Amino acid sequence: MLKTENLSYSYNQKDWISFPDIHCEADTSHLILGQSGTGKTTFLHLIGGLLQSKKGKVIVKGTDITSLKGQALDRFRGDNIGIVFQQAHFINAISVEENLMIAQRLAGKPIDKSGIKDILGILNIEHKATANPKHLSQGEKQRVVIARALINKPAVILADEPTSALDDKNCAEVVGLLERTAKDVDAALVIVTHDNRLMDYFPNQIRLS
Amino acid sequence: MNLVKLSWKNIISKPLNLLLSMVLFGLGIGLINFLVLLNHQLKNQFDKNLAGIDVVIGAKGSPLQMILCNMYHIDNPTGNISVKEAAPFLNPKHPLIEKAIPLSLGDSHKSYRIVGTNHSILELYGGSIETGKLWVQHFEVTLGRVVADELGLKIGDRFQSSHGFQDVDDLVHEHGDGFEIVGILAPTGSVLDQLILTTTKSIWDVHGHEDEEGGDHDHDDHAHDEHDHDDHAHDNHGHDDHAHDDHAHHDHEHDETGFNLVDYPDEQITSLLIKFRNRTNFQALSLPRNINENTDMQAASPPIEINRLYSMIGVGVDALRNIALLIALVSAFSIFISLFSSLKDRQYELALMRVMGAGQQSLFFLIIMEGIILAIVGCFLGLLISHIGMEVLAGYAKASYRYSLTGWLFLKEEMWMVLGSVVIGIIAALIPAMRAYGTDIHETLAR
Repeated sequence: MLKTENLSYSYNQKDWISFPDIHCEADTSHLILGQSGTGKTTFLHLIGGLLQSKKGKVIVKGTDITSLKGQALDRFRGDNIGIVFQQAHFINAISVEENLMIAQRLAGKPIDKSGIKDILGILNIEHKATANPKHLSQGEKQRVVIARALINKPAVILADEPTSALDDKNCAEVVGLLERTAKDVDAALVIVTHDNRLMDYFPNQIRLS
Repeated sequence: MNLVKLSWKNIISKPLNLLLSMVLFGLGIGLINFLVLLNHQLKNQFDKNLAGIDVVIGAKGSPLQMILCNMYHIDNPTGNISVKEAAPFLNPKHPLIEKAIPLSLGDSHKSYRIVGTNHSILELYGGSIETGKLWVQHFEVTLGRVVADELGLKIGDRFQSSHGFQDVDDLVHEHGDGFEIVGILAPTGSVLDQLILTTTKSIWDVHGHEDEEGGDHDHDDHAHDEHDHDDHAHDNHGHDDHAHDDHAHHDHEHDETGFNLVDYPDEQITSLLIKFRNRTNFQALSLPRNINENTDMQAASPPIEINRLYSMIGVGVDALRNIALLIALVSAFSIFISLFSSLKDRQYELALMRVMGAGQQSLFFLIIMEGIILAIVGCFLGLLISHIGMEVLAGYAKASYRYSLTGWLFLKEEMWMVLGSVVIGIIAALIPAMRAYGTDIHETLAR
């Protein structure tokens, strides 16, 4: 599902950060650990196609996304990669439901209202469908973010510090939801974090240094 | 939920920004369109009422005033001319003049003007009788359609005329049974619709009668007299060179009523509307100058005077138009500012859209769309303002000038107004859209 080969990146073309090769099958979860400054976010963005490197390969579902350009890359990302960010951001002018619709639309998929209803139901926030995301609690926001990452049934789900803003109870809940829903859609889950609480949940761990 | 809908939602989520752009843009477009509408309708009215009249002859004074009074019926007369002076132009065998229509003004009914004239005035405006008949006997009147409709008058009704053109009770004449309505004209869309037509002699009689009664009105403020015409009325000195003596009487046709104007050389009329046989004839062209130089009357060409009027109003209109353009420019700037400042708050949002699969061009399109929507909403507000303004003005113009303007006439120029707004919206959104296009997702999201 997700594979990297000899991936490295440089912001100034002099100092190169090298990343370990990873290989994640569908239905598996990986934890990428590292202290601040070890390039966790850079790694995640490279895998997610938000950043492109001239060195190395990122292969998602058989496609080397480092070779994709422009609109093709955007489309591929929208279609195959779901990303959960540390901070829960939304398009604030529209409702939770509409945020999910626009995610479907931008990935070039037809709008599927019952799919949206299902996923909100699984995450137990169905009742907030028509609410403005601004008015949700932190835990609710994180769930909507997960819903948005899952809505297009991506092959890979990337999560960047998904629990750092959450207390222990919410942390456990969010991790559980991420893992379960990723399995539901047969996606490979990759979590980038420095949150040691998560180490107990995921046996597959890769440490950046 | 598509990009256009998202643009719209983005805009209405910031109602104050929307309001500001809308009001500014609305004012600019509203003012411009108001001027276009007004210009169009006034020109239309003025042109329709030119009615092929080549020259107006009346008492000396302001030529523009004379034209406005005798052709458009919105100003006071410059005074009167004596029939004796006017007689040569009434000769049907006049080599240059095809038609000369005498007008006698000075009275009104509920501020609709009563015009003493003959039936040939109908030919000027393409008027025809709709119900009843044309005026024949003295004190018979035929109403223009608007007069009949607005005052709710019908055939057989009678009314007393009043002095001058204002609707003032204590200036009402008491003259026997007054005027009797014998007919109503079909609508022509011209000034004819606003007139009450009667015989020339009726106008004289109303005033002659009053003189016998001892004249309870001060005649100096009577419209027939108010523009002191003593200088041309008291005698007929010094224009023997002009071809008008008594020889021509038998050449003048009696009109439909059996009345022959030139039989009353001592009476007065307000003006003559002249139509030339051939308006490019050199002699015809120099006739007005001859009249102005050699008689106590003046002659003026309607198109020339109306163009003069346009050019006088034009300065003000140009100034207004420039102000309106300035407002439109400022509003374009406000759209630019509002989009540009919203980008700062929405950087993360835009990056997120990219993550979800939106291409750079989609973000560009989104912001451009927001500019277009802001401009179009403002434009429609402006069009609405201009039409309401026009309708308000129409009410006022109707009350004061008996002019029928309307706020509900839509011109195809307004389509251009909408298109122009779209262009302004695009231009205002261009730089913000380019910024959105260039959003660096990695940098924005890593922050």
